[in-house]
Amino acid sequence: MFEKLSFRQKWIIVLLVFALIITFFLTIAISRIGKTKVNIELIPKDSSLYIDGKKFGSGDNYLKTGKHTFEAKKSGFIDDKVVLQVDNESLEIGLIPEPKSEEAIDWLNKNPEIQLNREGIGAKMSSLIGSYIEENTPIINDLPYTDIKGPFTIDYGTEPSRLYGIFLEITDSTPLGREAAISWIKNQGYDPTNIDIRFDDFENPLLPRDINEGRHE
Amino acid sequence: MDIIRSNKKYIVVMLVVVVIITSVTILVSYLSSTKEVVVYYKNSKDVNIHIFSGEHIRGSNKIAEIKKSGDSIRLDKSETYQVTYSGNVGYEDGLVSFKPSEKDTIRINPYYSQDKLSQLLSSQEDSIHNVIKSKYSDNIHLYEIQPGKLYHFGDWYGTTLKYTGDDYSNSDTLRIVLRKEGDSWVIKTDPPSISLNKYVFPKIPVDVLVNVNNFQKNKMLEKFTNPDTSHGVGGQ
Repeated sequence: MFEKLSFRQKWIIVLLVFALIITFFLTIAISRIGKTKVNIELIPKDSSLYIDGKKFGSGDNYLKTGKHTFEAKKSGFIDDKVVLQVDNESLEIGLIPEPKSEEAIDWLNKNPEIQLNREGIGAKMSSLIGSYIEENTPIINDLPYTDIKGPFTIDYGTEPSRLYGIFLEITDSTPLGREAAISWIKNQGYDPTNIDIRFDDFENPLLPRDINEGRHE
Repeated sequence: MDIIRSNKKYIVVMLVVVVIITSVTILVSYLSSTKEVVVYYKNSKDVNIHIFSGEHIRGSNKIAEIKKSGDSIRLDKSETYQVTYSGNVGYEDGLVSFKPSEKDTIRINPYYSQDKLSQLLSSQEDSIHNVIKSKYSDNIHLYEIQPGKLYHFGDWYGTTLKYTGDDYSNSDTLRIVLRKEGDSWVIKTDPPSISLNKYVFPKIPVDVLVNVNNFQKNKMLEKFTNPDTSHGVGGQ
């Protein structure tokens, strides 16, 4: 059929195909300008993926740099949610909602290879989040820190729902020690406003006594 | 060569198409790498845009002046810019940093100047302190409410509570922030805390938290460190 076309018609077809291909790749390239590839794996595979509250498909997604909330939901499972900073480097993440209903638990028990994959993703995510925390809150490399003169001890705990989810815990302290602990944090180059600091030894006189007691249970 | 000569017309068309596609690509690339940013402002003047060079130097690297509110300018998405402005009488001077990739509308509405806030404070501080006393009526006698500061449009207030009780182990200075809602002041850091952070108090502007955290340390521990008093640290 192509042979029956005149030279002019052939050229027009070639031009049209060429223009369509260029337009297609151009559109894709433009839509990805300034965005970073984030590959997202879900287990179970038919979980619904939400990024910043909007529904997306699993696999490759292109996102603007900045803080994003990734969430996987599936009926019968506990939602898996993580807040991550997307920079210019591509990222691979996995979300693994935890079985909650009997049916979901049974499904997982009958599929040991899926359980293995889940564990793999879990380990990968722990390592990713660990490296994020280390990179963005290098203060943890100096912890735990104890100042016997203060006196105070500073250590950290993790809070998954927060970006670089850590909080600092100040223990073995007196009021002077707590002041010294805040000064120490500032001297490391951190603004205490940007860190959740918890003072374990402090019983707030303005709180009812039972609430203060409850804090330590 | 004969084929080229005999199809000259088609080759020219092909070249024109290539030129058009290249031009469109360049235009689209320019449009996608830049963004139109609109600047609205009130109660301010001398609104200028600068390329942010990493140092907060007002007046350097000026690239444009925004002559009237609502004017727009096309800026490179990959750069960081600063809009600097001078507040009208009673309003603060200031600057706003932004990346066109993240923000395409800048609204400048300067806060009240420190002088204006100080004037407002003198007529409001007593009623603010009464709100604190009323909220913590059981134990507020253990504290002395220190003079504080108003922020923004006089709608935020922050101060410290200096401990005057006898329990050394919990004698920390506490920080408290209130907000004016309608005609009344509402405590936003309940309970008052040793250090305020944006995670526990996400609804309080960060600049207010930072300022209250940086309030001068009270000499709250004198009575505990002074050997002449009966509350010495080691004496209990």
